[in-house]
Amino acid sequence: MKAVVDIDYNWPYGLTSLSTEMRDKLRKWREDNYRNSEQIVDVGEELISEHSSKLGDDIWIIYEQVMIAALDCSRDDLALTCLQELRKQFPDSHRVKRLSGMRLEALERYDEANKHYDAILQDDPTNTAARKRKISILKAQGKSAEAIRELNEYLEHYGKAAFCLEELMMTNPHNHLYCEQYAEVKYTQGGLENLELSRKYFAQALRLNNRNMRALFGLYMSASHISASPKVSAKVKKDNMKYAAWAATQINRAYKMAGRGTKENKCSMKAVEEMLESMQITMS
Amino acid sequence: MPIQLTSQAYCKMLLHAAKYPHCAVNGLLVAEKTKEKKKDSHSEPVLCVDCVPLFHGTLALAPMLEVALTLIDTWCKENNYVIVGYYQANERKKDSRPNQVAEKVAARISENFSEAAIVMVDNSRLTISCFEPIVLIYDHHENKWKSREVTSDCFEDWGEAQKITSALLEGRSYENLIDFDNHLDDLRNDWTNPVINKSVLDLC
Repeated sequence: MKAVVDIDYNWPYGLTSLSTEMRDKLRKWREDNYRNSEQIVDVGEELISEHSSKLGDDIWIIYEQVMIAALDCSRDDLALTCLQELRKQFPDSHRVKRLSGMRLEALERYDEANKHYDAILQDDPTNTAARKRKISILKAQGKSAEAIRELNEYLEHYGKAAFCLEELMMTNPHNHLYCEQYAEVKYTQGGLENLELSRKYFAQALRLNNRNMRALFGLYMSASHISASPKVSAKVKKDNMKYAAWAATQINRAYKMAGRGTKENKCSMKAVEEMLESMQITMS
Repeated sequence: MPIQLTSQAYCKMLLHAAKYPHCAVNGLLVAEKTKEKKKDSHSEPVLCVDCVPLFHGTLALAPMLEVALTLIDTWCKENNYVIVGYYQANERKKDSRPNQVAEKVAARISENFSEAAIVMVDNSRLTISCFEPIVLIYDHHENKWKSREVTSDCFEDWGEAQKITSALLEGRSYENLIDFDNHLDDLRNDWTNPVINKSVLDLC
């Protein structure tokens, strides 16, 4: 006869797996930097009040995450609870001091918040988190000129926005989003040279992720505009018309795939087809 | 020529703002195309029957805005609509003035509809009960955008608009609101928002 030790991992029914599920959700939102504050408060508040004993050391980072989300939702009661637990556990922490400052910002007590950040910076002048909060306060107060000045000082190493994205692209060459955003900035800056650069970066973003719709549309728009420009040679015009035509086919295909089985998308699809056709006419 | 808002147009604007409280949001306002051009068309209010939420976060980048405008224009033609206005809710709570982006888009809309309006959402007064209208309407006069006094006359039916918007905000319907950005993230997301439109109809 076998002695069977039966460990029922599901007892009490559902409770253990529920708290794990909630923990995983919070972790995913943390890692992906989502700002779905209402949901974080809903899940986090329950997790903290009902299952805190099961969280181990995770509880501190959860307190931080929930606190920030609570500020977003005007739940000062919850924010204060989390903050107090963090203060008890980490009495001299700069990171917790920054959270205190953020709470004061949420309460629009900007002078007090600034004092907190200045105290951090006096202790640790390289603390970029505190520096960024000070800039946020200027922004919240509508002091844009000052905020920009402070931001430029902070970004001294990087320069302006486009340059900043260039740095990001260099250190994250596989990130199609930076590539695509850079392309959008170039397109917005305007001018033939920027347009051609934007087309190249949209194309690169597509190479990194061939399902990036923004990159696809961007390629279509930039190539179409270039081919319509009176300043380009016949060859450049022809090449860009080919790129645009290719992009148009891909866009149509993407819409067809998305629309499969749904009536609603037929309208979107038709609108896209017509848009592409009408642009061809105006561009040629 | 004053514009008037239907409950559907008003509540979708507010749902968009509520969905992204930490971002600026914008969108387009559409009206039904009228066939006759009355001589006295200045006194006839233009009824904005719907709005199309566009972007959240960065509003100022050109390429996707161009795509959205062209696509929505085509959709309008199919449904006998015309784009008559632009709405925006700024990132900061206390800032409700139209900025350069708003003026540029409105100028573009004016090319097709001479009396395009800018509607700004006053974030500081956004509440779930919606007891008062929280939009500012700007018209183009003598090369400047001037705000007009907003009364219940600016709505097809303010009582209905207030009731519906409040109900949808409370029920967190904004979680399901789709803007053009969401559509670009996943083409299956429908920026015409049929689900929300149905909820509005059900509450009428």
